[in-house]
Amino acid sequence: MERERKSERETFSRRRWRCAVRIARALTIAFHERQQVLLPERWFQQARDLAARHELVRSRGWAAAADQLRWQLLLRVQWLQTELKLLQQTLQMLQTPMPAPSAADVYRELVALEQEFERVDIAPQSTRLTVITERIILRGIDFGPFELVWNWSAISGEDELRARALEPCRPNDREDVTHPHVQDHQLCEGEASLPLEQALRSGRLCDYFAILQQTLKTYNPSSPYVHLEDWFSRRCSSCNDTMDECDESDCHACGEILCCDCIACCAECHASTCRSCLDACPECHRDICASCQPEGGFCRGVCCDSCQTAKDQNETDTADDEEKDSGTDAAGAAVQSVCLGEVGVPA
Amino acid sequence: MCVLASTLPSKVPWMRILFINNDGGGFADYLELPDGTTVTQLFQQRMGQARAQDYLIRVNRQPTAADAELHEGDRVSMTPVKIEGASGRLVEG
Repeated sequence: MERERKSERETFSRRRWRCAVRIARALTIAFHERQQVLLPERWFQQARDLAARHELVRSRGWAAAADQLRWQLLLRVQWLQTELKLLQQTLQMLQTPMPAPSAADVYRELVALEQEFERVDIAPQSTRLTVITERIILRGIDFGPFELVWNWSAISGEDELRARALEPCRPNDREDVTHPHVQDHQLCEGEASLPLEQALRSGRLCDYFAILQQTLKTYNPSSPYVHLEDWFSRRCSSCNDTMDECDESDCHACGEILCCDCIACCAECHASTCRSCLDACPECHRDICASCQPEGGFCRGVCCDSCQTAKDQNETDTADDEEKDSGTDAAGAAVQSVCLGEVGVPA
Repeated sequence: MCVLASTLPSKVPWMRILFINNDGGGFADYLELPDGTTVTQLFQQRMGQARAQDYLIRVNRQPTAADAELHEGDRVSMTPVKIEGASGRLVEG
């Protein structure tokens, strides 16, 4: 039994060592051999395109479109600014290069990682190192543990790191967001970007995952994909504003959920109805829902029941009055059209 | 290289440690410290008014007591508990 345990530890240690060698080599190539300086050209090109589109719509007088484009351009320029700042810090750092991490350094990091985190998986064939974090709880909302998968053959690429929620808690209307700073399994690192790069450059894998976990455990209210206050809010189907549960109303005709500003009601039955499911009576101009409208709706001048009733009553009253006033006999009874398509005849 | 407490007598033995501050740049630096410097003393000297409970402090990759003494060649890292992420990237259409 003891021999089996010893054999198991040695096997595992050799495996860990092999991974450490591969990881150290990948880090050396990514950070110490290939020191290409990449300018954020893609972001600049996008900003330039947005500026051109903004100028076009502005010259045509499309104010709303111009506002929207200006906002997008602002975000793009802010992101470009962040990228340039990171590049500046990287260039300053390259002035005093650090030694590449050795396989022994990385091996010690892997050992420490297994002590720091409850579950660590190393998959040398797929070049992936997976760490499961603690449960992430922000302001009482439990996002569950996250699986952080670092791909050491994709360093600096888009596929380098994935943050997958193991017990996803998504906002009501965003399938792609599982954390205020995670969209489509991509963590937006924010102020963690530089320390993360530094940690990898030095081969400090334990620091790398610790920084990632702390970033997940921190809420930045100035820049989330979805604010925590809105996490369980729903959006009005009409104006798309978020609304509290107490402000929600559903249209009895189509079932859509609307806010108190967008919900209306039928003037006949007073049921909560969205404006799309209401039509105005051509006579009284009140909004009537489909259930209370005459069959076929308000086409060809057909009016609502209330107006029709009033009309019928009016006709009856008029007919009675005229009969009283004129005193005509049945033979010479004047043909009176009381309303379109109808002729009153004496009994 | 940064020297701690220049008012100490020159005959006090010194030790060299690697200090990694993951707050901000995440840069590493070698420090010369008097023998017997504790983790808390190092924190107070390097992190100013910050509170130790706001940081994960590791010595040689292991959690450590606040009054633990540092030794020659130790590696000390300090990682803030609060690191703010963002949502800066726009979704490309």
